[in-house]
Amino acid sequence: MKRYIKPAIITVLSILVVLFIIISVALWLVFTPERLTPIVRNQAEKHMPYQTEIGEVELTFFSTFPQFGLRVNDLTILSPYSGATNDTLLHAGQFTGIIDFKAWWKNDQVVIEKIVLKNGLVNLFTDSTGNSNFSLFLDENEKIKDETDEKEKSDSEFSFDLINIKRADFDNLNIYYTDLTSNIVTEVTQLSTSITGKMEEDNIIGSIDLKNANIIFQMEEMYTEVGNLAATGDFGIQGDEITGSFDIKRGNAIYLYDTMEAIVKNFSGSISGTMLPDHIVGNINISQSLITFGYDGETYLDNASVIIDAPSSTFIPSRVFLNLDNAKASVNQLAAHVSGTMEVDTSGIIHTDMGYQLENWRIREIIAMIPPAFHEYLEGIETDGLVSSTGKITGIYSDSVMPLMDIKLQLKNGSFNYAEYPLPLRNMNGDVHIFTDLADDARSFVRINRFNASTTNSSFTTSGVINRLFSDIHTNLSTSANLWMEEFNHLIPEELNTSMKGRLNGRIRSNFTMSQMENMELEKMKLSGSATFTEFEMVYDTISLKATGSKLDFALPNPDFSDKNPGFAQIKFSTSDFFASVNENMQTTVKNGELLLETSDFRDSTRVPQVICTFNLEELYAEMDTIRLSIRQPNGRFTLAPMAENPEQPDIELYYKGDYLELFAGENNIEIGKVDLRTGLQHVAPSEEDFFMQWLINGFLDMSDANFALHALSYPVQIPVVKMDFDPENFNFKEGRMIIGNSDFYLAGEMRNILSWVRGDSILTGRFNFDSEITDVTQLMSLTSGLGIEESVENLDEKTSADIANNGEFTGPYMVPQGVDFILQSNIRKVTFGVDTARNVLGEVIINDGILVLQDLTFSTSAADMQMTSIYRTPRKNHLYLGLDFHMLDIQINDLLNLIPDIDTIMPMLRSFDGTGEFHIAVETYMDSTYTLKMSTLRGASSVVGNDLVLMDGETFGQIARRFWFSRRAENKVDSLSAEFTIFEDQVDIYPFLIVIDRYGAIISGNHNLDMTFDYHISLVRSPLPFRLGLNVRGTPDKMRYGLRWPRYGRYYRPSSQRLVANKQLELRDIIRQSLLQNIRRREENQNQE
Amino acid sequence: MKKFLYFFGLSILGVLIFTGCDKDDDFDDALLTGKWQSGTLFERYFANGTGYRWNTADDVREDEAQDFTWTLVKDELTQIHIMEIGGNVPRYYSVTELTSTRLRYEGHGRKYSFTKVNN
Repeated sequence: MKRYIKPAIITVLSILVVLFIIISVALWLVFTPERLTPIVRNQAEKHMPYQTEIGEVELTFFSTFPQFGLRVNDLTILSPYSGATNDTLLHAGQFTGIIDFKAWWKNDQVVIEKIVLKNGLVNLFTDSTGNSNFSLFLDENEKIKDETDEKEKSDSEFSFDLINIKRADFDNLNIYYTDLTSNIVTEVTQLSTSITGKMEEDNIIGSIDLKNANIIFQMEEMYTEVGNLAATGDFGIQGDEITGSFDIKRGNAIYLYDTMEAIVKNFSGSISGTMLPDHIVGNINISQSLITFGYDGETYLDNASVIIDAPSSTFIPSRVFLNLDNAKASVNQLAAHVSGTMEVDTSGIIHTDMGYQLENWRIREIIAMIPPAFHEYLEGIETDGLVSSTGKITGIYSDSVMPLMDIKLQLKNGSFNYAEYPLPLRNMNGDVHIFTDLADDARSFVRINRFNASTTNSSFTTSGVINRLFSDIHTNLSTSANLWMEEFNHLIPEELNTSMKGRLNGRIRSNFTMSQMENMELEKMKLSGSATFTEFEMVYDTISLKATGSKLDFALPNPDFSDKNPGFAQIKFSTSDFFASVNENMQTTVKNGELLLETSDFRDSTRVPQVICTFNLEELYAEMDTIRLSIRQPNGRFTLAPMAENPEQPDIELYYKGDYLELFAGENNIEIGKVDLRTGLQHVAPSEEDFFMQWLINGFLDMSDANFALHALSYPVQIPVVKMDFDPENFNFKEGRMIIGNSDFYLAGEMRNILSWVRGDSILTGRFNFDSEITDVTQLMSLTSGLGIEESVENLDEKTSADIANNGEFTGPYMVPQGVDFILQSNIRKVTFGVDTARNVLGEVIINDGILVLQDLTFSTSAADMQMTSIYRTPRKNHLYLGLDFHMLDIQINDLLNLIPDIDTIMPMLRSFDGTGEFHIAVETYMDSTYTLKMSTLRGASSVVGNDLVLMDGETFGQIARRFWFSRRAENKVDSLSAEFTIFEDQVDIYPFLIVIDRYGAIISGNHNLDMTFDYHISLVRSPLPFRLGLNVRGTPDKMRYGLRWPRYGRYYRPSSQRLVANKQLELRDIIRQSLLQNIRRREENQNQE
Repeated sequence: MKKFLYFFGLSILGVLIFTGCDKDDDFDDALLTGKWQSGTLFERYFANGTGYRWNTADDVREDEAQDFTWTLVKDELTQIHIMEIGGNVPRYYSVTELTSTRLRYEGHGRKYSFTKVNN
């Protein structure tokens, strides 16, 4: 075997050498460029419509081994054309083509083994009339086409079964195309690419390896440039279906239009798909790119990293229909997923049905993309967080119609800080649903499912719905807040001088429209909420508030609205400990208080609002200057309503109940054990100045265990119990027990005409039962002195008001209240008046318009039972009237003198008598302000009747007895005494009266003056003497002068002479006695009538 | 008998003499009406038999004067002073002069002299 190998090798090598020699001879000797070039030039001249210059044509073998190739160097086609930038239509520095002639010859297939074009230039130009520098090619093509059509008609088949371009290399190909008809300039420069392809029947497949290309496309104002483009890909055409898949390795692009500028750098990615005549389906992927986008001089994106991944995308050109399936695009890592369709109809209206999803977009990065021109709006703002959103945009978009947007936004871990809003927010989380077509109010809404944020120590959460977005925005929100108030002090304007502390935990529900808010239509708004204050403190200027454990609830409108309850608002406030102060001079403390306030619209100026306020406190304390008020368990109800007949005026009702009240006001102190007050006030006469004239007041008062120690009252007043009804005209004391100073009394009755009295239309009347164990008249007089007396200019020099000394003691004259008509039916067990005491005082005490009357008072003293009627009238402070009608029916004469020492002055001879007598006196006088008698006004009449008296042995009696030769004994019995005397000014007249002593009887008459000078006459009308005697006694008690005279009176009261004076005296004496006794008879008649 | 006649005749003469010496003044009460003044003391008489009395020395004004009723029979002037409390205080005087400008009366150990004042 080995012996055949060597010859075989030698043979093959010999053959190869021979072939090499043959080919070399053919290349260098037969098919030399000098021989081929003319041939090709001749053919070019025949077939090329333009001038063609061919530098050299050569046959290649070794450089295209193992195939033969044809290489043309410096091929140039010239087509000079006016307006074209260059005469060269086409230039190829080197063009090499290798064709498989065997396949062409045997199989009728075009197999291009390789085409190489280096340094190529194509320069196409079309002028504004549509003529171009390559139009002759078109004409030639038309000719060829016609010929082809003729041939197709005959063959009806493509002439080649296969066209196979195994490789086409273009190196540094530059193509320029200018079309002035469309103002299009296109440049493809430095194009280097390799293309392979195969066309078999209607099927074409191929691949391209674009190593580099620079493309410029300019049309009108639009300029597009793609540079440094490199890509590889495969493509295929099968009938109408074109498929392709390309990887873009690199590239840069610039797009300019008007003021828009878009620059894409370093983009890479892939694109694949299938294109039918009106249907494109494919995937687009831009794995990286840096985009700069500007518009109108403003840069909106600056080298933003943009990634796009659009798999399974469909585009239908005829409908301008785009379908994206889970396409993803991101700008600077802000990614959005988009799915759905978009279509532009023939009228330019866009139909969308597109869904999207944003995931965790960082707000800081979004803001970073905001153009600098808008940075001023964000000055001082620092915000961050993650925003996610899903949504769907469906419907029509046109100039007038917007698609329906269904957008859901989520915010996570957001933060917000504004330099001028010194309360940074953090932990902002939100879930918002926006549903709108930007036009239809009925469909559009924003639903805040949740939005919460917090500060360092506070947080709040809100949710709700906002709708009617494009007309009158309507909000229905619920907000909860937990606020540390100290954080908000920075938000309060400094000029308000306000600060807060503590914690507020609250919730607010709001339901209103913007127009309602702008117009403050509170009656249409719905607001409700509650707030709990913990250790809350607030200082506003001079006002301080502290609230521990307080809660405030409010509702607008009132949820408990009814026919009785106003519907505008309801406020509930409760506190365990509430403190308020103003200027540190006024302060209020409330413990465990509850307040419920319901009101109608208080802004209605045409009527008083309806207000119901119910309160219930455990303890209330208030202090202002020297006033201190403390109340336990105050509770009640205050209602304010417009008056039915005059809605502008208030109708007030107050029900108040309290356990213990203590009020200190300077030197005044009031304590009340329990109060139950029900009252109504109607503002019937607002034009009146006097409070009592303006208001109609009625109600009921039940008060017990009250103590009043008032500066205006000289003595403390205790009220164990008082119950009374009152209305504008009447006070009805159902029960009133009082202790005033030393007095203790029970008072019941009615007081009438109160309002009329205030108006001046009537006097104030009162009818009371006055039942007392002990009454200190002096103290009561000091309390009531001067009530109702008005000061007048006329009386300035002598005030009619009561005089109260600095120590509160009553010093001036007692001035009887005027304008009143009071009757006290008195039943007093003990009365003290100064040092005097009376018991079992029964009768009426009448105070009638400046007149005090003690009417038919009966009482007992240690001396006797007495009956007295007294009138005390005070027309002027320096002109006081006192009238007494005094009856003592069984009294010791010496007790009488002790009881009323002044009687000794009026009738000094009574000092000489002892025994029991009957005493009547009626006397009146005026006094000055010091109670000094005005003697010129003194009037009086008196009667003394005594039986079995004893005439005391005194110095005066001794003098008289010596003159009449009486027997001198220590006691001289007086059988009877009946005397009348009158007082007129400073003079006392003793009318003739008879005394009988033993065997003597004498009639005494005369007068004496209050200066104790006297002039008496004694007529001895019965004696053992055989004659009658008379004795005149004149002088003063210290210096009496006696003189025997003829007796003036006869026996048994008969005058001793017929002198008219004596007769008249007897007549007048009867007048006196009858007038005195008339007072007793009148009382007896009254008693009988009763 | 002659002695009896002597005493009887002497008695008649005495009666006649004393009767003739008795005062028998008859003043016209119409002259009394009006306002009279005696120092600070004033009295006003009305024709209907009423009047009042006051003394300005005690700071009493005319409208605060105290009432009385009066009668004047011949020279007997009776004043019944009326007390508001009830009861009367009678005063009896003898008028000694009453003209259109002067009034004098006396009684109760006192003498009063008034002059008429206008209004």
